[in-house]
Amino acid sequence: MEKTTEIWEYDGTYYGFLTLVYFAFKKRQFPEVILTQETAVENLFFSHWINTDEALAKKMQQRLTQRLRKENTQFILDGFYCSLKEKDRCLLDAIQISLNTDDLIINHLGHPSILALHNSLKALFSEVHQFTGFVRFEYVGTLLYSKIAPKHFSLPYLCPHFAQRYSRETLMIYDETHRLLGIIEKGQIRFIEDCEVPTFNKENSEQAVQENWRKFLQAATIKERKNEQAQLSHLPKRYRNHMIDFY
Amino acid sequence: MDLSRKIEILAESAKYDVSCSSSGVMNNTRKGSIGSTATAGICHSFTSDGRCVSLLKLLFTNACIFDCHYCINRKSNAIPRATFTPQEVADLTMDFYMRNYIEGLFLSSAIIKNVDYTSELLIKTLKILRYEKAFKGYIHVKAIPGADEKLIEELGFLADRMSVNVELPSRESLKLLAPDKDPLALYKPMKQITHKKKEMAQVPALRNSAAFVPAGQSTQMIIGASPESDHSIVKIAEKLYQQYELKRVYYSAYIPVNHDSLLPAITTDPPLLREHRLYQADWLLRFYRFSADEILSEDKPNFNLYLDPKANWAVQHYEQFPVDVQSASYEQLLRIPGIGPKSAQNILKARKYYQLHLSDLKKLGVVIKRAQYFVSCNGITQPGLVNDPEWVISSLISSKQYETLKKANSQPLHEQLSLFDVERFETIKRKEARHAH
Ligand code: SF4
Repeated sequence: MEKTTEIWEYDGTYYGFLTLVYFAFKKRQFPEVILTQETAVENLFFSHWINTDEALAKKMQQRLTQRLRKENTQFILDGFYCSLKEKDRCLLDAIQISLNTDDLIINHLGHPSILALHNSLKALFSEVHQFTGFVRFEYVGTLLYSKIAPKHFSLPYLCPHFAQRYSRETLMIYDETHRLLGIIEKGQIRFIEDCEVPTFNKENSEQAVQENWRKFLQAATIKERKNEQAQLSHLPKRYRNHMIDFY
Repeated sequence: MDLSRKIEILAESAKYDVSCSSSGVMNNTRKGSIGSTATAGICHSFTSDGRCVSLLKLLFTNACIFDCHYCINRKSNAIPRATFTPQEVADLTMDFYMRNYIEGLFLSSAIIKNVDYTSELLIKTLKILRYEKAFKGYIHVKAIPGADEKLIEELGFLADRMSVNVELPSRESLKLLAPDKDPLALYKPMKQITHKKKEMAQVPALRNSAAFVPAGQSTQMIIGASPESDHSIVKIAEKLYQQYELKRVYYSAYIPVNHDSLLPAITTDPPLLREHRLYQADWLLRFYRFSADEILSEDKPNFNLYLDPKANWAVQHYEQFPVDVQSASYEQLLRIPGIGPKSAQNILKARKYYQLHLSDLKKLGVVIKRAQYFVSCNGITQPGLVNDPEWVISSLISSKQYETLKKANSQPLHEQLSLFDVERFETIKRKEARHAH
């Protein structure tokens, strides 16, 4: 692969990215910088725009699934959803490395791009893990509803956990940051993108349960061990806004 | 008495029980339809003492007929008493579980009427949850030592994890401080659970039937209420892991709650630093392939409170360092301070196709500040290192850390042994401070 000094730009969608991958491999050229509409504003230089082509993207997707190990395809897909600033360039490296090996891409941590992606994925998954505990539901009629404000694109990774946990219920989780609504019905998950925050007529019956929970938390605290610093580092402020524990 | 008052009393009474692990079950073997047991520990909240809350931790009752000296619930204490009904505990668990406040229930109990009656109440509660509410979530329950074997077995089929608290690390202390308890009866349910689990695993016909304590058993020891050394505590823990295949041993720094001539005065601070070192040593046993006798010995039976046990071991075996990260085995990597199982694995992966450099280690998760004294990379060590264990120790602990540790240390001086004595360490630190000015 030839490294060029070119700057490429695309629309930031997954299919857009795959189209870009298609061109990179076809031209046998890797751009130096890859921009999306979000990052382009910060950049003053002239960029080469790549139009998303769904058919090409699907072809690319198919080829990658055929040629790469399952774990490596997953790594690339997850990598696309992490919040690493230069993820697109790193992902091109990751694709190239995994095209040339049968080994797990994660064994290539010595490559700076793989290490950067690995660390960023760790941040994403760690947020997902935190949310498995910090999401608070309340009943709205028979529906369980929750609102969160994740830093990373966590909701799609989070939903399967709750789909399994409440396999017979109907749930809604709203991601304020990405304006994404996850709906889980009897274990089936779907999403509504660019969604307004749903509004409900809330009943008061939740107050008693929430009050019992706060009573419990208070009673479980050992004052001889008071350590708010530790509490803060385990349960950072950014999660607390949506937790009834702290009202 | 209303429910919220009961929560206040009976959560308060249960709070000193430290075991909080919420998981350990890979496959969901429970019949039912609501909930699941997660594979990795999920913390649902943190109290302002910084402890994780993952389970609804309650005492079924605190109206105890026993009189253990160290316990707030002993019958001779004048405190408010309360008892839940099985239905109340089950309803509360479901209320909290559905809103994702908890991962499950941790149910312990004082002895009400007698041990069998108490066990029956616990069984009744779990039956409502499992059968009436179809609850598949996690349940950790205390086995009541001395209860009928049949009851313990029944409880084992309903719970995910069971624990029997060792409480005090020696028979003598138990006799003295828990006169109503039979020290021999303590290990009996532990043995019974281990046997039953083995039997279930070995007989193919039973393997697919109902799960028996699928998440294993754990125990707890109170530290600092009785005179046992750290070495004897770590030895007991090692034995429990080996003999009864315990999943966890928990250590709880004793917080004086009662005026009692046999116990530390009520004004004594809990030995939190010692507890912390015990947990670190426990990690060394479970994840770092250390043996108890490597961590402490009869002639050095107590922790160096100023240095964590792994670093302490490393400086005492300084001749085995530096270890080269490019060629060392996984076991060797694990023994380097500042390198844990995760970063050791990262190193193995990273060096498979690429030559490592000392500067890569940080990104691989190594705590350089600690590791730098013990590693090399392709023969190169961190520049400026002095080949002397004493120098390493004083570099590992900054003056500020030392002062913090000294403040946190609530133990009398004669109970501590350190690598080189505290006075000499202080002289070095004073000299350093003078040079700095
Ligand atoms: S049996 Fe002993 S330790 Fe347990 S609650 Fe009663 S007094 Fe406390």
